[in-house]
Amino acid sequence: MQAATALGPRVSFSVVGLIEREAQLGELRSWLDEGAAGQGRLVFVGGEAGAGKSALMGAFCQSLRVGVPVFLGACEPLSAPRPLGPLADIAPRLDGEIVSRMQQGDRNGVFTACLGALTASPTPKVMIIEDAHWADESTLDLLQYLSRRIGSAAVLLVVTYRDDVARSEPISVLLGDLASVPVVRRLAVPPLSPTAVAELSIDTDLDPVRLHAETKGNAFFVTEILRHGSHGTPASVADAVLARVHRLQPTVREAIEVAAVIGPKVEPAIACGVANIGPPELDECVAKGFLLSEGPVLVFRHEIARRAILDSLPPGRRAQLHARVVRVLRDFGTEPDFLARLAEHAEEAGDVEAVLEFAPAAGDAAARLGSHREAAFQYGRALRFATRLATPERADLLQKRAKECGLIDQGEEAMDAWDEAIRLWEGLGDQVRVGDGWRQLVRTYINSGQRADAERAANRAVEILEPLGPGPELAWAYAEQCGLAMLAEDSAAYTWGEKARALAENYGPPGALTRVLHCIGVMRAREGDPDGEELMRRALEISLEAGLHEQSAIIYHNLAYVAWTRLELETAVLRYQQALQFCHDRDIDSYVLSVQASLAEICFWAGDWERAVDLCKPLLAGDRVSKIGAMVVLARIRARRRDPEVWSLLDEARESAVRADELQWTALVAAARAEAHWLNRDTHLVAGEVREPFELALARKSPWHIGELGWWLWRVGELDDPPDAAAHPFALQMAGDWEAAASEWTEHGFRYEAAMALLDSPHVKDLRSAVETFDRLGAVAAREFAGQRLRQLGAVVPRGPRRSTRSNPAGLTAREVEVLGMIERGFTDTEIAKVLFISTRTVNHHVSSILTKLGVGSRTEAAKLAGHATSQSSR
Amino acid sequence: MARYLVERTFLDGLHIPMNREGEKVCLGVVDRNAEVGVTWVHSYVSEDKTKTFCVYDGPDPEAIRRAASASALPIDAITRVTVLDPYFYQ
Repeated sequence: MQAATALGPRVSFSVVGLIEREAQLGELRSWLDEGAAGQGRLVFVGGEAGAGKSALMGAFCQSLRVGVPVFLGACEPLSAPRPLGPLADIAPRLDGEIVSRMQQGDRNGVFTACLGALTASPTPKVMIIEDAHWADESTLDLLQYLSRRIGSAAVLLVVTYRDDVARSEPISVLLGDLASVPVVRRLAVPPLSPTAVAELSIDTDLDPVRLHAETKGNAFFVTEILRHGSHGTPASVADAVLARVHRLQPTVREAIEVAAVIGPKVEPAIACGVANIGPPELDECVAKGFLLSEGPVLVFRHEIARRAILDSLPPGRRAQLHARVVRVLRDFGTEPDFLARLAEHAEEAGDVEAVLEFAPAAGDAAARLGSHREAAFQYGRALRFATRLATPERADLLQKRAKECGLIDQGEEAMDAWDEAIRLWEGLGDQVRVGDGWRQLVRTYINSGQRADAERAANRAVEILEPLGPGPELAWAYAEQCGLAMLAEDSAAYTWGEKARALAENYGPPGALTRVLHCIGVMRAREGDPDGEELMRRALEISLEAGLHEQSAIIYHNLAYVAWTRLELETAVLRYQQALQFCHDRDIDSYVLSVQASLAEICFWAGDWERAVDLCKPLLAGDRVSKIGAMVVLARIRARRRDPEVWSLLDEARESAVRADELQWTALVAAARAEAHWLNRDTHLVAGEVREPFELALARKSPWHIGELGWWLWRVGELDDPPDAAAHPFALQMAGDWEAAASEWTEHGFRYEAAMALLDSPHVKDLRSAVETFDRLGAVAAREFAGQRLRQLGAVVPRGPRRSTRSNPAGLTAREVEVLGMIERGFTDTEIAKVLFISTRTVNHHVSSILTKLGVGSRTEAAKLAGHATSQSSR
Repeated sequence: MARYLVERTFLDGLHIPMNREGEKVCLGVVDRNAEVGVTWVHSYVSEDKTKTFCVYDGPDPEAIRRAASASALPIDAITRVTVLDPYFYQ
């Protein structure tokens, strides 16, 4: 049924693919070598549309020696992609187990089976996923999953994506997540150089300079224009394609139009069922270069061409063809893979009944596989056509959509869907569901940082459900109230907790019970009560047992949080990583971002700013409450480095914190703003930022916030009595014991804070040590303060770190520098291979990469240049 | 995409030969910049070649720092800038 092909869609063996790609092929081969040696690699190959990524893959596959199996799957530009589409392409050839797991909708089973098939034998395997910017969530999760498990397997996993669109696609989050995963490598497919374009146009009448200017070196445009034989701007590529279509015989033209409607991948049987065409017409499409034959299916050579053909069809004709595709396709099967396609064609055909038949089914299938984005999209699609559905059915669809949207960070869509579902239940007089709907809205509001709305929803839920008497829904409503109070560090959590617990133990929704136990646990742990963590672990046990994944993720997250409240950074990092792993394994995407924001904050405190930045970046795109944390961390790092764009972040963060209206956010933002003012020497603005949240922190007895905010007040001379309840190192600092404070900070791993404490020391030695720490962290701003203190003491300020300027201007990797050093000493490739324990072929790749980077033609020249560089840097 | 002015100090002076080697060095920097979405527009170099003022387009300050460290270039300060055209008001 599926294309299980050695080479996938859009692979074209045009001559372009073989030009100027030696370096990339070399890299790929050396990574395959590493894979073969049991160091699995996941390579992301990025380039603009038409850069020649597929051609590169084709050339790479062709160059492989016989016996290296290649598995190729591609993602497609459906508005709701097929769940695990690329794996569906590959699975039949890779392992039958995967196919059956997919049919059962057993996500974890699919992942495990796929990993098992890839790692089963020591024979190296190549798996290629093309066009991952169109990937569905489950495919991205699969990559995430594999990336953490192929480290010691003989696997090369290659993922191509369009880097010109990736920023706005879910893959950007994955790229951010995997930034620091050791098996990951990146490879860029840049546009062709003027020389390459000139070489390609050598036998034509085209002006190579103009051709390069018009195409900016885009391999697809170059190929198309060369094929077309005359100049044209990239915009006219569509015309070029259509001109070729118009030259076809009418039946062949119909065939290519039908194929364009079917999609990037065309099953001949479906095409022949849709119109009065047969294999000869399709063969002609292949002969004319529109389609490629890939095993049992045909694929478009270029997606851009397919779009051009599709767009040129009159709307009526297009709808008619889509309707025929639905008719033919439904006989082919109703597996998840086909359901998504059926729903898409049904919508394009404007066939309401078919949409309502296939879209909800496709949504259910996607949800089962954990592709929440696709599920939400399919339910949304169904709802657009749902006017003729009965009210309960519509309410049911709305609830499904609301839940899926909530899981994928589409807060507003989730709220709208809940609102409408609640209205429908009100109309039906179903008060229990109305109350429960309000309760479910609470989390959505909290995740979007809308505290006031969350409280309103929680109160509505209690108001509606209380008169109806005790029951599981009321237990949940109380539990959610308890959670709200816990987040606000409000002791009302205990009262709500008691009520919820009594009901939950009687009426038994395990979710409500774990929520209460865990919230009370957090409250207690925050107060330093060791029973708190005990309670949280019990909650976790219950929730794991009941398979409540989102609950469990939240508890994991908070277990890390309570370690942080004890300033145990290492434990916190370990637990956050555990929480992340749990989320990844269970596909709780929406929660991954929250955990990442927390982890970023810990990395920030631990002085690992690069990692903190990596973790923060993907969060800025969303609109979740945890974005506040990411903005604050990034702004503080920028302020400490004296980098620009601090206040745009801090202003937005303050706005969001006001809306979220919880101490955890307002205090976080206030401390960051105080610090930024202080580093800017705007001392007079510090107190105004922190006073109000400081008072609230005192009322809520929150040690860290009392400490940090109090310390800023103390620092600028606006605090007379250091508060007792402050976190210990801050308390020591405010008591004037900078020495003990510094050593306590160091002990906990807060490098920057330790150096800040030393600023209060009267000893040159301490201030020098502070300067050293600031230099190591790149904390330019605080270093100025330390320098100033040293000058006040009449001491010499150490010079800044002497950076290794241009010692390695060619950007060689550490390995390449090593190899270059050996070339300089006259080693042969074989000798280098022996010394470095790598294959001669790998040495070859390194050498050719060194020559390219240094821009020299021979090893002798490279050695000479290396000697030159060494003598220069030692001067 | 924002524009940044990056100030750098080269204690031993910046020496890029005006030949193929120099071109390779510059294009190498350009390639590595591209990996993090940064474009080097141009630079001004002080007479003694110890200071440079480099104009870059990039997504954010962190990308500018990544690009610099990939090419082992020092950074004194990053300033976000916009263009002021003196003839705009005529």
